[in-house]
Amino acid sequence: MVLGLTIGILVMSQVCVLVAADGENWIPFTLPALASVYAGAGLVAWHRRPRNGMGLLLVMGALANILVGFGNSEIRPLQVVGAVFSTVPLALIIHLLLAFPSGRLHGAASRVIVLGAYVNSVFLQAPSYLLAGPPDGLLDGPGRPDVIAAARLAQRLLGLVVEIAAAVILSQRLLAITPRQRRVFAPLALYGVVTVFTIPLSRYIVDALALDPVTVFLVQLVALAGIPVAFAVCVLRGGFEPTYEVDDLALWLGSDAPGSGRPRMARALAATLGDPTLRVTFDEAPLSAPGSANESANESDAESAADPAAEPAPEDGVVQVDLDGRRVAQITYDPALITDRRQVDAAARVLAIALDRERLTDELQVRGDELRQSRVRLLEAQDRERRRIVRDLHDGLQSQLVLLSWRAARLAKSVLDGEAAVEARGLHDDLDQVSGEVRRLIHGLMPALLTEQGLFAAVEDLSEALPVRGRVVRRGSDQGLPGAVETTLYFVVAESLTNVVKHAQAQSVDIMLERHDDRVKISVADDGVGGATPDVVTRGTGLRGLIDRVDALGGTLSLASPERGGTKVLVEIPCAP
Amino acid sequence: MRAVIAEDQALLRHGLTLTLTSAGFEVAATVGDGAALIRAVDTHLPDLVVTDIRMPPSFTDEGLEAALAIRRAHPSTAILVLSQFVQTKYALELINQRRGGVGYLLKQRFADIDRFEADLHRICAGEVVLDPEVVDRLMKPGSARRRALDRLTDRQREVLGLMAAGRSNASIARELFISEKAVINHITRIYTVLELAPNTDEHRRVIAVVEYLSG
Repeated sequence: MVLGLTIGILVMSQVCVLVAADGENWIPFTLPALASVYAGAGLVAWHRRPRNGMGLLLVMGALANILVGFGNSEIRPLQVVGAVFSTVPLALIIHLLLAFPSGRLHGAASRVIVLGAYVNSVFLQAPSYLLAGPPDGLLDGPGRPDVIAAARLAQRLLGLVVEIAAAVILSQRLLAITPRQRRVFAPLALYGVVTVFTIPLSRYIVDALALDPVTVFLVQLVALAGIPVAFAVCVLRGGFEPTYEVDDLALWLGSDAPGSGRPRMARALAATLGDPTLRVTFDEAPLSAPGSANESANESDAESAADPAAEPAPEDGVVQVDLDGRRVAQITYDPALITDRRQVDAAARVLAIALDRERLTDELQVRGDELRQSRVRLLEAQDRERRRIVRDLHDGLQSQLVLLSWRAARLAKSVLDGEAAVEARGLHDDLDQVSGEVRRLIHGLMPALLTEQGLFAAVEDLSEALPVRGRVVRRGSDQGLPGAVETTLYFVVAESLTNVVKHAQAQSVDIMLERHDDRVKISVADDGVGGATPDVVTRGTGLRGLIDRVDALGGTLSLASPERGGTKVLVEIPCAP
Repeated sequence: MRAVIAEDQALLRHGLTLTLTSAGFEVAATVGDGAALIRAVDTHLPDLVVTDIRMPPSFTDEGLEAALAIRRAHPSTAILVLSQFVQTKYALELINQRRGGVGYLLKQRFADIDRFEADLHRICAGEVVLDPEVVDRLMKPGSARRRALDRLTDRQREVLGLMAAGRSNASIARELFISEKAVINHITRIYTVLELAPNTDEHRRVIAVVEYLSG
């Protein structure tokens, strides 16, 4: 704020000075304009990312341009200042380019180049203003054009060396980084390389072709103005996204924000830390979805947030995410974009919590699934056991009872002794009765028709045995129903019909059997007194246990029983086609 | 008279063989599944087939399927189907075959030797013998067939039930403690109500009635 104001005042004062000098000439005014572009870009960057040095450097660029601008004034001390700093903006451009994106210089080569650039622009410029001789020379005595010319040549040669070296370094960086990083870095770096070459080359080309110096000036100006413009492009492409506090990250990860799971975590992290090239590599796939590791790779590829396959490059920053002393993930970031490692550490701790939460949720999900599956398995086991018992009773006990009864009858026919014959006939009758009871017992456990002819036939058989009129409508086929589903539905109907007979005072009952591709639906509706509450219906009847069975199979059972409106039981169970 | 027995349980097969032999049948073959039964009938051309419903390999209604096939191939062969449980559905399928004697009884009925022997002879004589439980079912109000009978009086329904069980007029008269003439009068009125031609013999009338009931 204060800085912006200061620069504003400086720009204004310079404009005033220049107006006083020569209001008609437009060329001097381009420098404060250039300075304003620098200042604007620099202040925005500084405001968005206070820890990043780029903003400060751009503001320095603005100041340098203002100082140069004073060279065009008519006030002597200001002219001197302008003369001293006249080539500093060029050195600063090199500094900016090599310091991008963190604002700091990495590596000895970069530092030497930048130092060389400043030395070149400040010291080799000195003869131009010290020894120019009267009236421009600052030192007394005659002008030394020979020294000035030598210094100019040295300056140009050293400048060329520095510029080429900078271009080489930038090119190397551009080649070394990942495509994602390149997306952020490329516009500025490419523009930088072009600019670095444009300025010296245009100078020589113009000299060779003897063009108008104003044209030279304009070309240089456009190239210089291009630097903050290229920087603005980087801002737009995400290099300087607004950053959030790590606390906000915790809230974000904990909420049900849009996006899901791990890609969302990685995106949130990248956005919070302001590094769109940030990647999160997860060591283990989530429990719930084995395929989601690939999924997250695909999804986040587009978001440039996470790519488990990408190995960290040597220059990348790496922070491990630990949970209970075990590495669960790894954050790979660009140390140029995130200079404060502690921020990444804090984010890693938040991410660890988020991953733990994900693990717990997944475990709960998996256990829920296991529980459901185990309930179904229990039902199926019970169903198989029931069928086995029925088979054993049928083939074993029942047959033996019939045979015993038959033998008793034969005995009764063969013995002459009247008392023994009566005894044998009594034995036959008793055995016959027991045989009938076993038969009914078997029927209650698992009706033969259900296993022989299927659910619909068995339900029709039930309806025929009713003391009230029963109508059965069937739609679709009952072929291929799982045993547990078949048995459960049969007993729901049987129990419902028992309730109709006992409580409904009905004249008739309608049974609807519907098989769809993925589910079976059965309704039992009577025209009785109604008014049955779920509580009354389930209490003391077998329906309670059947509701549990229906539930275990993923189905639903509902009851509608308005007063004097009949009672309707509706049961629906999903089944794979 | 020759008979073929199909029953997968050895002990019951043995018991059936003894019973049929003592009832005067020559047991030509005993088999344990439906396919073997059809082959045995083709070979021996028996007068009577006694078969269990539930047999290998499917243990569902093998015997019934075999019985229906035999009915089509050998209409004169009398068939008795035995089952641990009786289903009206099966009974109607058997009766709908129309020709020849047919019976459908609970397996445990065979222990009642005298009654069973009598039933065997009635079936061989071309009558229809249904287990009382089946008849009971057919008369239940829950049955769809029952609706057609709603216009009958209780007594007429009682008579019809006994007719459907294959009982003779004399037997019905004894059962209901009425004269045979009264039974004939009831039957005539039943035919009138159910719009059936009266001039058919007894078992055809039973079939007609049950056919009507089966809709």
